[in-house]
Amino acid sequence: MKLLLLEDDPILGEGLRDFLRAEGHTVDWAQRLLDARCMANDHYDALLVDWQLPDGSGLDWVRSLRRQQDSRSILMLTARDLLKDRITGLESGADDYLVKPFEPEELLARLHAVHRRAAGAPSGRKRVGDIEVDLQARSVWLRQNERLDRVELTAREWQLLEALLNRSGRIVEKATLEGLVGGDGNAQSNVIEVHIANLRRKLGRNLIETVRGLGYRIPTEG
Amino acid sequence: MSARPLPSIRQRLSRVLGGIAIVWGLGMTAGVGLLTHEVLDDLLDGALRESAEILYGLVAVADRDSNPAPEGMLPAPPHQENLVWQLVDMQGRVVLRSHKAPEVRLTDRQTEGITDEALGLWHVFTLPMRNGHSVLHVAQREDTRQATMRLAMGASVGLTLLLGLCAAWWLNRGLRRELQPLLDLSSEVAELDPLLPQTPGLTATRTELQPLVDAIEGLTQRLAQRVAHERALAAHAAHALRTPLAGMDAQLAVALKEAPPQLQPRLTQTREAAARLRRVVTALITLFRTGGELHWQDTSVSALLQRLPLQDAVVDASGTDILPCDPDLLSAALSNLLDNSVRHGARRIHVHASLDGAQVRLTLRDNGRGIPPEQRERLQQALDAQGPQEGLGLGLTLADMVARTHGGRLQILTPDLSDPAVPGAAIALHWPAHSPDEA
Repeated sequence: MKLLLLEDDPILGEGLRDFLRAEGHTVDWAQRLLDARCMANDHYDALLVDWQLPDGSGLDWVRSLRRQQDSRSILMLTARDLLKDRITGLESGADDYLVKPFEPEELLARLHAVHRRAAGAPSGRKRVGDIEVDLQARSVWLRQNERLDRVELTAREWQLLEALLNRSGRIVEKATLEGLVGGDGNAQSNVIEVHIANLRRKLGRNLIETVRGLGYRIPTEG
Repeated sequence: MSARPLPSIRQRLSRVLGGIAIVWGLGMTAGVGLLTHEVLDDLLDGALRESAEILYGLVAVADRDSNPAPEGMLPAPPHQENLVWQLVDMQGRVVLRSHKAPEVRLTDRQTEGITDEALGLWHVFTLPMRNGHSVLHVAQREDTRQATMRLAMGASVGLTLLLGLCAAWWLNRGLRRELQPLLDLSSEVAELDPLLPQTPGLTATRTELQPLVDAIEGLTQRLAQRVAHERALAAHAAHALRTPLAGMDAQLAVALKEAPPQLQPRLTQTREAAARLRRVVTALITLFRTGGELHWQDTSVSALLQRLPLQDAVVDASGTDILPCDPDLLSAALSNLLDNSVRHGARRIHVHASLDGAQVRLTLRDNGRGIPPEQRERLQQALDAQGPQEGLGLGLTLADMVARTHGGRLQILTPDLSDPAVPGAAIALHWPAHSPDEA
């Protein structure tokens, strides 16, 4: 998943960023609300937002995102643990609310849970065409002749597949995918094409469509 | 705390006033009695003297003109005599007497004056006749005089006592009425919540109560300011402590992933210590911030236990699942108690909850090293006295504070050796059941 972490505390922010990266996620970390507003483009799968920030309220930002029909998963991270705060946090549009101090493993588990729900796969498994994906275990299987065969993907291939699955039915621009897998910024670079070709080879040619001049898409079924 | 009842102002004042009324009544009774006795004695003596003086004239005339009646009696119709008289010559013979007077002289006195108990039953006034050869004795029966005096004294004493009792009753009633504003004020103070701005102020209905009302209102204002200050501090501390604690744990989690194998045990221990610190700080902040104000809720014990992070022990719950409590506070208490158990070697902890009508009881038994009997007693005493005690960890103290905030206590129990699965430490938290609606 590509995550935007908005946390002003340097020790916690850095710790969470590195922990989530070590768990295979792409994490951008902003320490100010102003930076987060600039960074919060469509590329992120989930936002982790602190309530109290030096230049404003994370909660107000969450409210404004929801008013703009932003449907990405949002987790509030805050030191405010009163019942009314928790209710306010959830009613502002956050999908989950985590009170500090928490263990990063709990944050990860909640992130997965929120993501599973958002991906329409409460059990953690999702079926798209001939493939079956376990978002939490980061595993993928290919159905061939009534048999499920596990397919090994590299970290980058998995990141690309997850990004496309998270946006099923929508076109994902090449630049967005480059942002996720850390392309070299060269317009002539074919890193993404190489990974997409590898995914098609491993998971079947029909899984990922190329929308010429725009990007790639995993079509929704039905 | 001693159960000895405190002295009551009303009862003490009633006793004092009752005592005064009794002493006053007795004093008045004795005074009135003596006075009545003296006055009546004088009155009766005066009447006797007056009667003698009247008789003196009559007898003097009768002595000249009349023939003495047979047996020395003046003739008279049958009648009751309250007053008798005798005319006695110098030889002591009764020359003349009233109808009911004795035939022998009443007294041998020959000078003017009173003789008590003459012949055993007469009160006699003697008056010598002017002719010098006879004396006049006028007498009343002593028992008649005493009966008159008793009647007068009885009536006076009875009336005085009645007045005394009426006065005591009236004073008591007045006392009760004047103490009522104090009781009303106590009820108002009991309802007073200095933290609620809309709480109505106290009313002084007597001048004497105004300083008390002013003092209580001053105290509640200071209390409210202090609580507000402490709450602000707690909120600030919550933010200032929670974020670095979370940061510490996140950094340690990353360090554990990155560190070489020889550093792993050290980092694991550091992370466990950080986790303990996190639990204690969370419990302290929760307790501090609630300031004794509970958010009572029907809470599932099993759900609460599931939410508590505990990696090194198996916790199983039995008994009633839903208990009335403040879930945040109970969670803080349980978290610290479970942490204590694990640190003392427990790998299995049994939590049993019961709701017996008015009493909630939550018992934790573990298979750790337990608490030696002599230490158990010392720790319990320290908890009861709420004083410092070596070996009394913060976990027990926090759990006891949570129980006390719920109106209950923490008890260190004797281990249940009959259950081999959990023969170690045994702790019970109990508090009065409180419906969430009542909160």
